[in-house]
Amino acid sequence: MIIQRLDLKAYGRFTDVSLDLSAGPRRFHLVYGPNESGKTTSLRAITSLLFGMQHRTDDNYVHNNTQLRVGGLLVAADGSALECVRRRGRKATLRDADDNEPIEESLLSSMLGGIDRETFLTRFGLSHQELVEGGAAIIAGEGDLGEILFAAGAGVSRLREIQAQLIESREKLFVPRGSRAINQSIKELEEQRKELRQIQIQPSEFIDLRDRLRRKRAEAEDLQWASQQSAVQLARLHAYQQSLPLLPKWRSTQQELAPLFDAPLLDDAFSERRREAESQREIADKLRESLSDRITELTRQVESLPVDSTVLDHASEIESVFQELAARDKADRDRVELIRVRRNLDRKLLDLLDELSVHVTPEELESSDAVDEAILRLRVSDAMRARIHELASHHQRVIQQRDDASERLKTLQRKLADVNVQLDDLGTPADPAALSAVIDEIGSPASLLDSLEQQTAICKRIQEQCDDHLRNLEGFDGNCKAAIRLQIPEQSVIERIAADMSEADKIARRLKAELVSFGQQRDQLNRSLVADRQNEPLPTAEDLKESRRVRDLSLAALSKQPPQESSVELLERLRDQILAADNMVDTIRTHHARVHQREVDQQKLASIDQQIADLEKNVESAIQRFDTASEQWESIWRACGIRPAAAERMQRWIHEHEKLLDRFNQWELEEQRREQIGQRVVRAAKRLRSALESVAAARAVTVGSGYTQAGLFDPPPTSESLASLYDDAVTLRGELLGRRQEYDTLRRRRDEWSEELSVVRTRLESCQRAVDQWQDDWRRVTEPFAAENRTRPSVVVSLLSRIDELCSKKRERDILCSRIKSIGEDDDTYARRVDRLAAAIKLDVQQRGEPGAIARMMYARLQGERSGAGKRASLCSEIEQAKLRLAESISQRDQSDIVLGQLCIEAGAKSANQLPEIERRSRQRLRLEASLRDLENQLSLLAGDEVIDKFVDAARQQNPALLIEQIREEESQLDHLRQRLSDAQQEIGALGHEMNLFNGSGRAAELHQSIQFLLGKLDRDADQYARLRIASLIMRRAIDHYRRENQNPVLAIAEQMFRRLTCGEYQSLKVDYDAKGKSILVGERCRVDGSSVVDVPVSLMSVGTADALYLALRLASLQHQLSHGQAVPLVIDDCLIQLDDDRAAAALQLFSELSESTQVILFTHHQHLLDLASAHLNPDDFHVHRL
Amino acid sequence: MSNRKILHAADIHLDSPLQKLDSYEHAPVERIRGASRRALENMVRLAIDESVDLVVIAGDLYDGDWNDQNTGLFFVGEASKLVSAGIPLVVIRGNHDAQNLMTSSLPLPGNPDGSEIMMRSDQVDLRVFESIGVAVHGRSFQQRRELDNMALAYPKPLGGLFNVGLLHTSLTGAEGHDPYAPCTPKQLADKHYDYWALGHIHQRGEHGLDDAAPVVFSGNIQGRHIRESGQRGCVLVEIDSSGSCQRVFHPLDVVRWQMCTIDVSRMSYTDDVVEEFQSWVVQQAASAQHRLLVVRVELVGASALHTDLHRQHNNLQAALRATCVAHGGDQAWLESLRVKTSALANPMLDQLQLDGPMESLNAVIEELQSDPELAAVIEDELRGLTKKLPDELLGVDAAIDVHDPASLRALVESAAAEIRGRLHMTEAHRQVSQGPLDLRQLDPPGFDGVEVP
Repeated sequence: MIIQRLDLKAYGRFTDVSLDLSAGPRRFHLVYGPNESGKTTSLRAITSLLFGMQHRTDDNYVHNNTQLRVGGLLVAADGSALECVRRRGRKATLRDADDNEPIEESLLSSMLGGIDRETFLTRFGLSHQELVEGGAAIIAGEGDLGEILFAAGAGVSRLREIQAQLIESREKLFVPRGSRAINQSIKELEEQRKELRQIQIQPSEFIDLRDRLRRKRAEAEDLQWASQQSAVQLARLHAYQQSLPLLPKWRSTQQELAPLFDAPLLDDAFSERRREAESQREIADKLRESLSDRITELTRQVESLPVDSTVLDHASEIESVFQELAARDKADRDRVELIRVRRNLDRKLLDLLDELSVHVTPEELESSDAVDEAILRLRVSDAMRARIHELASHHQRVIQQRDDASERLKTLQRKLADVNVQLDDLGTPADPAALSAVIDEIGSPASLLDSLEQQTAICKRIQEQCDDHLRNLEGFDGNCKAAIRLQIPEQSVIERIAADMSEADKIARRLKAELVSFGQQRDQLNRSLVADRQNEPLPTAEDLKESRRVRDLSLAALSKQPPQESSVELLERLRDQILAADNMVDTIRTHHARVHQREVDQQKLASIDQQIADLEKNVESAIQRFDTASEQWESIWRACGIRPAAAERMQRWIHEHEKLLDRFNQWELEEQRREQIGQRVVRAAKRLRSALESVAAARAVTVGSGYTQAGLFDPPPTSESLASLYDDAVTLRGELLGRRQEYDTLRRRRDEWSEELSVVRTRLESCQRAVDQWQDDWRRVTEPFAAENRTRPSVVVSLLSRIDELCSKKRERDILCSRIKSIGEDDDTYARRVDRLAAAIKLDVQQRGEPGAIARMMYARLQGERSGAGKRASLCSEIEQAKLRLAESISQRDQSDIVLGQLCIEAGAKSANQLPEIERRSRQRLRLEASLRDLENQLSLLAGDEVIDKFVDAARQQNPALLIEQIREEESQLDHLRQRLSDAQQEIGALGHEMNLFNGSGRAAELHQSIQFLLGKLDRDADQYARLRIASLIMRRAIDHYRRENQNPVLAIAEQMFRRLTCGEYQSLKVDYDAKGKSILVGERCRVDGSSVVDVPVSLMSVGTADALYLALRLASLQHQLSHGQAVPLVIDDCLIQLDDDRAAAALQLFSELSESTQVILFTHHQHLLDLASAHLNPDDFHVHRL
Repeated sequence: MSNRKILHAADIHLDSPLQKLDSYEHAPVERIRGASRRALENMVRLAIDESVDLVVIAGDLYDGDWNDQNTGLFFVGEASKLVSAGIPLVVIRGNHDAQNLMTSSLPLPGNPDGSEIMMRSDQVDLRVFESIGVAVHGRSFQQRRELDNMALAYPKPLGGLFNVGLLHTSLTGAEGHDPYAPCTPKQLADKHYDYWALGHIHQRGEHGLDDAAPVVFSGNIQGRHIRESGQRGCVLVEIDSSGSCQRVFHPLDVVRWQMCTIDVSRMSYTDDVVEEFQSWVVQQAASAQHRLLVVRVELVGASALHTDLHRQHNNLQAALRATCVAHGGDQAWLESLRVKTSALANPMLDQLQLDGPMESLNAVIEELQSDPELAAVIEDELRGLTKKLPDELLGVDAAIDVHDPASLRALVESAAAEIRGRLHMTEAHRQVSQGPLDLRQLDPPGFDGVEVP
């Protein structure tokens, strides 16, 4: 599957941005974006498109969550295409191209071969961080081949860290001999179990305790019974002892009681009843006598009292008259006071009338008609009064309004005069509009001048660059323009000659190198031959040949001689010669190998000599060829006026010349641009000057303004003075605007005030009319009671209150007069009533005086009569009482007689006189019987349940002396029993207390539950431990499995890539074994001189090399996997920044090659990567996209 | 005879702890303690409140290996409450209390009619309660392992009375229970009793034949582990004047074990698990009537979340615990989270023909899963730990059970998910998993994805 197009419709900072990733056949896309350009966002957009947007996203800062959209066109390996849009959400997030309908997720999933986000990110994502971590992990991992392969294959750079975490996590839980969580829990568990065993109460303990308690209780019961028996016996002995003194008294009482058997048993109250009856009879007798005397005396007193019935008949009237007496006295006092008050009022009335200009004498006042008349004249009706108050309240307002209007009128007239003066002074200012329009149109000259300055700087910079390039054109002495005009030889000619030179040079070098090599070999062979010769001289084949020739000559000479002439000497010589030849043959045979070697060496030497000669010829011809090419080289360049350098340098020269051409063209363009800007500056200056001149002309028309700006327009404007012209124009415009504004303000004010002046005039007239009207009204209403000189509202209001006061005082005085008169009339009526009453009761006329004294006298007489009547009634009542009590006392006496009779019957007496004796005998009998009962009770208590007679008989038989001894013994025994009982009870108490501890408490059960809590924790921890432990096991096995299955193919690919990524520094990768037999990875590095290789364990590699190794293995794993599966795009996030340029270039080439198998998208923010790609890859091998 | 009520309970297992609960912060620990005692108190209160006429307990008052006389005395206290309220009580010993010395030493009170509470073990014992017209036939276990059919020796019913058979038996056998006093429902029916009150099997159930006397296991009164989940209590038998009876179950448990099985096959985010559990907890807590719920959450189903769920097991468990605390008040306790999901089959992956490390990992896992020597491999790997662990943690339903192939496979699957998760962990994942648990991350607020119809 490839991504043909990525649409960033609304995602992160992007809106409707599209990346076309369709170019091929090599699908290596470099997506460049500087920092903050959204590179990471678009990287994330790919995973969002393929697998949905993450739950938590940071890409919603421009578009809100509901608007987020990323889309694209995806093409599967079989050519089928899917155009879709992804939105954010939980369901149906994949939608068709128009974002209308949801699409089945399975369509996309099937294109992706079912891989999920994590698999995609780990296996098909490669980041700088992963590369760094992967490299670090390789160095840290001591070269473990399995781990390295697994990590690179899975894209999990942190494999070692994960393994270490698994171990660390589980060792936090448990180590066999440590104190980790599980170890501690186990220890705690044992402690709690021990504690549980201690606090559990075993049933056997309980049974034992219960049995002991039961036995002890039985013992205590026995002791209790024995002590009770003992106590009973002791009590019996004590009873005998106590009964002994009672027995004689008991018998004597029985004897005394015998003669009194006939005495009646009278109750305790009998004597009392008898004495009471007798006493009552005596009292009744005495009372009867005294009451009779009293009745007689009272009757006499009643008859001696006098009777006055007339007074009593008029009792109520006399009382009434007497009671009114106090009221009359008070009325007299009131009248005096009222008269005094009336006089005061009279004085006040006179004063008030005087104030109101009405003159009345005190005598006239007494008649009161004159006053009434005056008051009538002065009275003001309510309507009038209201009107006066209304007018008085309006007075201040109308006057104030009129004064305000008048004042405002004066102020406005003054202001108008001032403003007219100011306007005259100011005159009509010039109109700044034209100047302002020019300024606005031109705008601030700063940007224009800045751009001119910038453009000049640019031109200067480019010119300098041209100069730099020119300086770099070694061998050319002309100026820039000459350089531009240079006709450089054709590229094909240059390349051909350069290739000839290069080839000739290369051949010459190679031949020279071979020559040197052969020279070395020849020297070595010579050295070997010399050494051989120096060791032990060996005959050569020539030596043997020579020896045989000498021998054969001697033999021939000998054979030519006659036998007789043959001398011994000749024979001996021949023999020696034969011997020498044979020896030589033997020597050759013995040292056959050395001889052979020497011959071979010599042959080699000859051959090398021949080759050296050939080579020297070839070298010479190569040098000749090079020289010919050099001459051609020299000539073509000289023709252009250039002193040529070597071919490579001339290539750079051409490149530099091209750059110069580019720069020169650019310089010309920039110069044109600068010229245009300069013209704009001049135009602007001209316009400004003319605008300023026209303003000056307008100002010249203005007469008497007094405003001039000396020297402003004196010099003609130039392009250089644009800034100052502009500043002057702006200043002038500001000034003109200010004056214009001031002029307008003054005009506006004058108009406003003129308008207001007419309004205020009208208002003043209207106010004056209101004042006149008020004065008419006022005069009309105050005329009746106010003099001409007293018409001010405050005075009139004061007069009104005086009139009110006068009326009020007059009313008050009238009331007083009426009351004084009424009191006088009441006095007369009272005197008449008193006189009439005195006549009725016939009071002595000579005794009469003023009515009060008569009333008091009549009342005293009435009181005297009433007192006498009361006394008479009291005496009559007392007589009646005495008569009743007399009858009661007679009845009482009869009752006492009856009681005494009944007592006699009760006691069996014939008369009341016998009763005391009978009572005495009865009392004696009762006392003796009580005494006997008491004794018997005591004996009965002592006897207990025993019959008393039996007890008495038994007691009589006791010996007092023996009895004491028996009691002592019994007491001792009882004490002993009680002590034992007490001990037993204490023991029972202790056992019971112990038993009470068995109270059904749940303490042990709670501890048991706590143990279960601990077991629960332990269970969870053990589960976690087991999981981590088995996870480690699986991890180990998986690493091993992967290594076994993929080691060879992946390493083979990785080796090539590694070689390229290290620029040939490392030749190959090989597998070695460490001391434990574990497979480890080793790199083979070439020595600097290229003579041999050394093994470098990966753990000793440099960081950069380890990164390169990880990258090689990662890409190799990917390529290996892609070789037999469906392709998925590889997305790389700026992973090359650690690598130097050569390695990065190699990596880019690898990516480009890999992109034939699958799409490779590399995101970067490093421009130099693009440069590297341009420099090292064909244009079709990669595609650049800029964000 | 008017209506009568008999309370039938069994398997009290007094002071038996609730097993292997891992306590955690804010967990309502105090509500766990003494749960079996509170359940027994509930039973006594129910008997008194309902004015039952008789209480029968069909064996196993305590755990056989538990020896603390206070446990017995607590039972005596509760029995005394019944007797004081005039309610007679009849108890037989089961396999657990057969030889427990505690049972014989209990100072049990006598019933209101003077009869003994505990029934004999040497022969079938009889209690006749004339006032309510009920006869109880029962026999205690003499020894822990009563392997004979005890029911055969039960006598004929007494005429004119409601005959109750009290027996501690496994009937024809039940999973997780030893086969003691075996007998068949037919043999019990042949006794012509009116009601068989059975004990021993902790799961409530009726096994009577049609047209025969009810044969009832009342179940235990308080669940002690997750295998004893759901309501636990007693059966109230109401007998009418004609002698026929109605059975009504009354829950007595104070702590209720509940299994919450969540199917994750339709879920897209691990957060969904927490949300579903939250609504489950709220609903269950409302219906549990103030009982404490001890919940085991089991995640099942084939899901793309399989690896994440295993990988985030601890975080997820903490989130569920937090949910218990926040939404269950002091009424919910998370016993554990068990992830029993499977990875989503991905046939399309074959198209890629990936031959990479993950495929090696899969191959190794498959190899291990199908290895007949898996038990030995794991036993060997974990030997250091298993030598130290107490026996309780090495058996059934424990963390490590090398004799249970399913448990071993689950362990391998869980370990595999751990590795997959760690290998797949991207930078974002790393931050989430390494930092402390943040509930907001698990339940992100303000996710405003718009559903498209």
